[in-house]
Amino acid sequence: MTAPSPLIRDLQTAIGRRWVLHAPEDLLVYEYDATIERGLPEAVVLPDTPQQVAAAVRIARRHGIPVTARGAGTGLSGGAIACEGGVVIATARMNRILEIDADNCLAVVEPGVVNLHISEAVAPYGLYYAPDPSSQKACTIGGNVAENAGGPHTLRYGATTNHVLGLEIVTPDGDIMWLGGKAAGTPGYDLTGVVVGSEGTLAIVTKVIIRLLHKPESTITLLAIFDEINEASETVSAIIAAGVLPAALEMIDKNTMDAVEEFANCGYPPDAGAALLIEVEGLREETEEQSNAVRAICEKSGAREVRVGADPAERERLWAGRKAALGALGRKAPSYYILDGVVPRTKLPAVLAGVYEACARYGFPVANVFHAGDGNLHPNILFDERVPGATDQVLALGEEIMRLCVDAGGSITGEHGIGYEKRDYMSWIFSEDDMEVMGRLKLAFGAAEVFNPGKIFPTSKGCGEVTSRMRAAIAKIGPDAYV
Amino acid sequence: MVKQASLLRELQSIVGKEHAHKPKNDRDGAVDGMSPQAIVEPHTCEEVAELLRFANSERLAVIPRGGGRQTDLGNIPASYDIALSLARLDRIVEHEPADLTVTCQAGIGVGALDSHLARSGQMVPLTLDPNPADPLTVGGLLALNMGYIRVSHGGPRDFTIGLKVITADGRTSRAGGKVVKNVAGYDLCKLYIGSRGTLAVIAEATFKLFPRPQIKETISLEFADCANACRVATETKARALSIVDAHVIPPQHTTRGSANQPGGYILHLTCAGEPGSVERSCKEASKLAARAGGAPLDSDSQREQRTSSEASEHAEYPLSVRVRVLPSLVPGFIRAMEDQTEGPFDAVPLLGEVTWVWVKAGNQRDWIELARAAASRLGGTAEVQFCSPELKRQIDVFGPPPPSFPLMRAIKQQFDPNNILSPGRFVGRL
Repeated sequence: MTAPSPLIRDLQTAIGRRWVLHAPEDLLVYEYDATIERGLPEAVVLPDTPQQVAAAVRIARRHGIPVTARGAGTGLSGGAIACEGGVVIATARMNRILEIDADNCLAVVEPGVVNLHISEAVAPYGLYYAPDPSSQKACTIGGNVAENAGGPHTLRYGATTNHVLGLEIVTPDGDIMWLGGKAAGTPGYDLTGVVVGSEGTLAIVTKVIIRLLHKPESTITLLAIFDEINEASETVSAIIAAGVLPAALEMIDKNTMDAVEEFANCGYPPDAGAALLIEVEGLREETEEQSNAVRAICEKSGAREVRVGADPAERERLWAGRKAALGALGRKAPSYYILDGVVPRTKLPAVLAGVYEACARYGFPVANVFHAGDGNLHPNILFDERVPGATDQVLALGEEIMRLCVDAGGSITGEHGIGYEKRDYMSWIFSEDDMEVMGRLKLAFGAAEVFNPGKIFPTSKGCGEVTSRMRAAIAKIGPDAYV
Repeated sequence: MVKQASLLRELQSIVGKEHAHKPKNDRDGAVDGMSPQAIVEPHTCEEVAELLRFANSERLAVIPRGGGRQTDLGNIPASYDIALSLARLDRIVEHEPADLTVTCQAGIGVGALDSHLARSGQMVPLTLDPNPADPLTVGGLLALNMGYIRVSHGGPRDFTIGLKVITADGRTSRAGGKVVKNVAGYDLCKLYIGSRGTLAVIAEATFKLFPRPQIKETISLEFADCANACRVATETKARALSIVDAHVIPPQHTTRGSANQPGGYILHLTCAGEPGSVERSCKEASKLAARAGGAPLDSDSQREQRTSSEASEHAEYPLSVRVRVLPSLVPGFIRAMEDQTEGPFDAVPLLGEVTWVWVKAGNQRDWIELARAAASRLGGTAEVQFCSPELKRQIDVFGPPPPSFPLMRAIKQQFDPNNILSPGRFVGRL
């Protein structure tokens, strides 16, 4: 056995031998995330305290290598991939809920806490944590903060950024610092708001103060079945225009329903064109009125059937198909590529038509299951990476679909992040001045290429062979992926 | 330094002769009693950019202003040359009701924006019923991250989805976009909102819209004990009632208090939404109050309902301080203050916010220290809102900077290296 390198020795001294991984077979597990990319780190550390995180950062800097933070690795834009090697700081051991303050509706948690575990822990107080990415059984709050994760209920409650009150961070200099706090109104710039969604490029988060919400008194779920997808997308706009703000408003298209029906019987009619899953929350009076209004709009817009569920078991049944969607799609093709784009809600019918047209032109089946109320599209392109050239084709198609979103006045990501999957598209929506100004923030944090290099910005150096590696790795999206 | 006459000529060459002028009197464009050399009223973002490029190259201090009502909030300016009024940037740029988004310029009045959106049954949740005569502007509220229904909808940071700003060096830069969900790039909207004109001039904003509540009702309840009034407010939230705003004010602030009878603490609860849930929310809140010894006030006393313009009244008093603590600590803070000083206050328990007002002059410096100490003992912060310029010269209105201040200073340095935007006015005199 060769002697460990000076880097490894330093890390072992600071964090403990057991919590520094450097053998190639150990590192492999940390090479990829839920999507498309790979990058082999030189070492993975599993710190237990903010002080150990800070020590690891200082050591990495001394050795002149970058640092990438990693939660559960469920991200969908390559955010946790060490694309330039260096040290990966995995938060798996920092998974404690440190404090629940039910009176003030907040909790202090470590970054490695799994999203769903928070809602489970605070349920006895009648509280929950609102952002619910579909991966919530696995993804961690640290990763949610980095990506500003969303989920179906973003429509009414906002994304992660609307639910984070403060952060303890480790800066690129290895200092531990609090941003924001439990009480609102910390004087000064909203640094918490700036770090949320910065994809691990500005700071490493070591504690998170989150806002908790009281559970609504009543929740009603509706599933509306349409003959034509156009009717469904126009219903989305009609509901929003009618002054109803549902908690969630999800679209499930025909290909998705077919895939779901093949292995989970959710009762989707075989000849239906699309379904909308709509959830309203609030006081009983409110949900009753809103669900009646939604039902009337759906029926007026041509829904052939509207199912309504008010108790938890009924609601669970209505959600089943939506939740099983990605797993079901995994059975339809050896690989699929999940896209994430946003369009203004009124553009939904036209852009969806464009998505189907483009996929037909390329010859790939596509399944759309997405957050329609937000205009947040998730086309899933089904393909077989073993077919020569298929991966290239799919990436070209994905790019074309992103273009459709941007041309409609939308964005290239609604909740998955830029990572480096989409850094080359940044210039489609931001001017050079816009990105230069964002770069000032990075300079102010002293973060140049210290944290998560190669992410977000097309101008970052390194990652020369990103695209080719991305193409090789795209097939890795498995049936347990989330959207 | 440019002389005033030539400065005016330069500015007029950018915005036109009639839109750059010297202050007409002591109050025109003044901040904390300081008058600028000139007041400019650009009409386009390009003009703002050109003005800032000029000011940046000449190292002239620029303070952006909206309606001018809250311009005195903040530290006393380190210097002040140009008042940059956004009053003429007052257009609605884009509103597609079915997208539930609106883009408007920063100088638009909150009332004007609201009456436009009302036609589609929508609102930007900055305030429920703006007074059209109120000079409050969208840009002003963004600069302060201020809103009047934060209890239910949060502040501007929570529903602003895009900004167009002009940086100190005159670049036009966008943050966010026009769609309600967007995580592309750094969220610079969060940085600019609440930065009080020290990083860039906000020229245009895109908001996520909300359905306008069908009805709104305010009930007023009277309590002998302040803590009970606060607790009832908190309980209405725990029951997820349709509460959009909740204020607790002390006896002397009510009409009844001015009569012979001393009266109690008043809880004003505003419910909004559709009629069924508003009716039930009011009923349940009254029941909660009754259990805590609270009694409904007669309609006469309900004239005391707060309006968003009330904050401006504080400016006329010798001192007002806004304290923020955890919501559960609000009663404790009030008790601690009442033991040692007088003065009406306005508490929003659900936000952990208490604004204390001293209506008669006295030892203001001691009072500031008192409020600051009481807040700090409870882990909170205190910001002096309004006081005389003489007093402001001696203090930092924000109190001690937070631990992250070195990062804030670095950000200011990156965004405004020549320190021309509202210099000295922010935390730690940034």
